[in-house]
Amino acid sequence: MNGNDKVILEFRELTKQYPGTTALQNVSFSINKGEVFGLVGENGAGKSTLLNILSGAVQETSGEIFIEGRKLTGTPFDRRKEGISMVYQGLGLALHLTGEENILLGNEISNYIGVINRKKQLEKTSKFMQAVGVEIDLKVPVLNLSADERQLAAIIRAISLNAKIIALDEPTSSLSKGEVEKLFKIINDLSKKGITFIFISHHLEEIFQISDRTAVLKDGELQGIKKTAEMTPHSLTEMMVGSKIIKKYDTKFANEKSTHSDKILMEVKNLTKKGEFYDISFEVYEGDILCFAGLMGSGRTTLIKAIFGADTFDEGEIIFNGKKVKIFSPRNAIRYGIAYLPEDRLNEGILKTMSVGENITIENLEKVSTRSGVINRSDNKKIQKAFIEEFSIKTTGTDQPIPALSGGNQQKSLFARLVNTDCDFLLLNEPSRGVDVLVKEEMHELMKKFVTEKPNRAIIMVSSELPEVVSTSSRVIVMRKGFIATTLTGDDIEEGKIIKKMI
Amino acid sequence: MAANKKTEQIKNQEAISKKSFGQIIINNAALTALVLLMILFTIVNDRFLTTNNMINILTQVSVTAIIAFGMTFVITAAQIDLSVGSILALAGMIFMALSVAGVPVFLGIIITLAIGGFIGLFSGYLITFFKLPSFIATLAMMSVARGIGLLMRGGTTICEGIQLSYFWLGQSKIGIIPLPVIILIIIFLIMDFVMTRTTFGTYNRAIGSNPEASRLAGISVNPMLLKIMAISGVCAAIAGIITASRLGVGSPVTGYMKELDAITAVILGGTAMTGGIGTIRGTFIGALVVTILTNGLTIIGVSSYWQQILLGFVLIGALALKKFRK
Repeated sequence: MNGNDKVILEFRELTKQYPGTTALQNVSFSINKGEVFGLVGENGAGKSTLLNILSGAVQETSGEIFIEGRKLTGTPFDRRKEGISMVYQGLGLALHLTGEENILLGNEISNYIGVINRKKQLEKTSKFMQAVGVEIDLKVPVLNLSADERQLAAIIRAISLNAKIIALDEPTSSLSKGEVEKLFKIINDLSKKGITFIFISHHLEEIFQISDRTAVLKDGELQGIKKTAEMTPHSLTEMMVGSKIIKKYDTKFANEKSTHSDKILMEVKNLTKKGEFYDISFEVYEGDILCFAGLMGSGRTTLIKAIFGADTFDEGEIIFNGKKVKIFSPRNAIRYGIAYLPEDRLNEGILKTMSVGENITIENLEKVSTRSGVINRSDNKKIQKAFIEEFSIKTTGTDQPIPALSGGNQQKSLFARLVNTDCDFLLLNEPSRGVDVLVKEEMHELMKKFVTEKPNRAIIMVSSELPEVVSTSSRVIVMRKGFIATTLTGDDIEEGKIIKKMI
Repeated sequence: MAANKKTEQIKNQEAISKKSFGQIIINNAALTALVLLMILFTIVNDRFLTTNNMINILTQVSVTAIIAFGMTFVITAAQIDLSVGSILALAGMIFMALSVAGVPVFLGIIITLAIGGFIGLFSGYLITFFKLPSFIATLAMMSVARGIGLLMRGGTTICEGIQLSYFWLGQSKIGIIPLPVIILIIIFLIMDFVMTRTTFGTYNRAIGSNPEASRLAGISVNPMLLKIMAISGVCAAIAGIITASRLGVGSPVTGYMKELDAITAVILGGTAMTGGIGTIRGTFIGALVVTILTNGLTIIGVSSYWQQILLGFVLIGALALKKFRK
């Protein structure tokens, strides 16, 4: 566009809304021919949605995509013919077919009754393999190939389909260091030949190594695009976890509560789950909002789930209210007085076929039922109404199906669900993900109110949003690659210091 | 811009009110079908709308409906139970065998129900512990239960030496109402109460809606599934007892394709195959539709082969309706 003939792909005001949540919000940017374009963002930032819209797997709510100036429409099949190829980790290949069969899948060289000419197929695929500059065994099922060879087979397939743009989604997640180098060399060679790459990774060092420019997505919005050479890991991380839209914190919870109680509610000692987190020890005091900060893959989510009994750990112990506890299931945790807010609201949180009211009281129906399990409907309704009012959940009534609510109101309903359990210890995983600014602040107020209004209460929160971390937490533990990098308290809780320890 | 939005809103509202009549019909497909079938058969044949035939229909529906009630819990939990027809036959065989062995009828009922429940529990165990899809687990149990039933008397029926008290359940009447109909109504009231008014019913819908979210909300998903499958087994056993008692024999070949009738009734009644939504009331109406269809077609002389074909299409139709449901 604008006479710039180098632009190959352009996104214009792309928006994707799902019921109750906005996955992409007015995203516009363009990618140049032959560029390696990095795309980063935390979980749920909208990267996958963007790729799925590009591939045609998901229909955009509004906005347009242009390839070489032409508007891109149609099915995934049409788009592949336009030169757009997706290479998903471990996906997109038929594992029991050979490399050769996979590469030419749908484009077989066969006679009129469908008998495949193996010899010609092998010749053709070998030619593509040489073009890419690699050597892999195309005669065995791809199942028997190593992870990087599969990745390469997928790239060869893309090249064989005349791909102009190849999107790589987390291509390195199962590759060794040497294999990554090999892959990067091939990407570089191909990009010099004019093939454009979109490269998604949560390993920031790889982004710096391979990409020419990088776009940062957060909560479905474009945070910015910069030449990678002009960025530092620090500035990139800041874009990923900081946010311009959120109101700057004028009150820090850590300052409001300069004197915290000496009473320890939970003590975690040397918790280890191999491959996820190692030797995690910390205490949670009465009135704490202890926040775990860190990048994707730092082990925060698995840790908090392990504490809740929704995941396992290998070593270590948890002491809760002075007693050593063995929490083996979520139900068990709730009995102890520990409740959990999942990070994935749509898939782990709300019960889509049920009403707002039912979603609120489901976790503690015992409170309103007899011992034999008969629910007292008026008591149940009363509680539901009280929460809808107290948390100002915008709904037409307790009986409205929960998918009809906005993301923020769904989230408040889930928080109400936790508070209704009468648990005094909450584990919140990304409590304000995918909700609008106003609800974010409401959530923060609800959290602060929760820990201050009654004694013996505390919250552990996992958050990828630094302003939230800074404004709501009383203490911050920064995790990096499964280890505790540092613990910050009081005035030390500031964005710069946290980011420094995250990377 | 604002004006545009307003017209759009009005359009939407119009669309909502416009589709409401059609939508009411679609959302209450079972009830609509029930009314239409009643009218149709009444017009076509004067033997249809008689007290005798109505009581006959209610007796016939008791077996299908009781199985379908159990199936409602199963499908609402996003599972399926294909073994119910076979459990029905096996339960009938066991019930009559116990009679021949001289077991008092009350104990005979208890033992038979326990065995039905146990088979359901076993399917549940396969589903929860070995993570088998319920479709496969209950398909296997369908074969196992049928096989045991056939094995008991070498494929023949139990018809001699049965205590008279064993016929009471299926053949006695209170006034003009046969006992199976009374049993049906009692079970309906209990099941409907359980589904709508208890924690069990709510958890049932929750785990069908989203098992992972339910687990994180502290619901014990696996024990729930075990109980649900056991309920389905017990319901099938009740149906087996009623069938055997009515026929006066234990026959290993009863209940063929009963799972189809039950599933059709449940789906017609508005329960979602994908789980999370289900009502016992809807299932009751669905079961009435299935039974009246069969009964009416028999009265007007349509062969049972055609009935089978038709019933298959009714199930397809009920599932296809989902596309238009809101």
